[in-house]
Amino acid sequence: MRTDAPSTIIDRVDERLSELESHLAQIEMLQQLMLRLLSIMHPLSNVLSQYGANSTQEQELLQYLDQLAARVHSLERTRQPTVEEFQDRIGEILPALRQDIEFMRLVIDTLRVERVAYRELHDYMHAQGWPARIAPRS
Amino acid sequence: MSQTDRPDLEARVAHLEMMQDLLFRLMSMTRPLSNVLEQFGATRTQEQELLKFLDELVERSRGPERGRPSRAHFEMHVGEILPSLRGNREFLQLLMDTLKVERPAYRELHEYMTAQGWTAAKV
Repeated sequence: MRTDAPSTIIDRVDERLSELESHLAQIEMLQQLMLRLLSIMHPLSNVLSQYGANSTQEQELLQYLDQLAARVHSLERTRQPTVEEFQDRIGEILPALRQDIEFMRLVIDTLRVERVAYRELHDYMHAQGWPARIAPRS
Repeated sequence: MSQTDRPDLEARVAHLEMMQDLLFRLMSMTRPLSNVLEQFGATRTQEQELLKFLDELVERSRGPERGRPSRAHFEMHVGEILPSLRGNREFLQLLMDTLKVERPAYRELHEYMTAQGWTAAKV
């Protein structure tokens, strides 16, 4: 009886882990669906609108992000986007949010769930550690 | 499943949680409560009245225990503001659930409601 007990416990743990694995896979699938649905609801526009940006500022920012997305692939190191430049440009477009670090981080996070064209830019920003490197600028 | 799979599960859960936080933050900017109220036929005046009532609830839930709101009080006032939805359990549950993905003050109210057992109990 005593020798059987450990294997029974291990069996139960394995069984429970398998159940959890299956639940997790289901939640991941649902979250993927939510992300796909969210990406077609213009999340970046919602964020900008919530933070008081007008249509001109929104268009200017989107244009700048398009440029950044293209420059990510540049072979010239000096043409690749930097976090300092990003902060300065966002501050120029949205002066009221120049010092709002949370806003800048949220813009970066939102790119992750935006249209596919911006996701690569988001990956680049993360790989370069931008969210942690954003700091108040003078 | 072996022990070596556990870190993988933990990493996957951590990733899900991170993405869920982001989803909640982004969703809160789409005014989900207004959408729910619109969907259930509320007028703009009723919406404003309900938001004002919820703001009062937020304040009272932060205050002294004797003044904190009860589920019966909540249900009664929502019914007064939206008479056609009085006793509509599905609506009340959705209203409370939506607070979780609303602005921070309402998220706090949702936490209060959950802690008081409002969301689990039948309203």
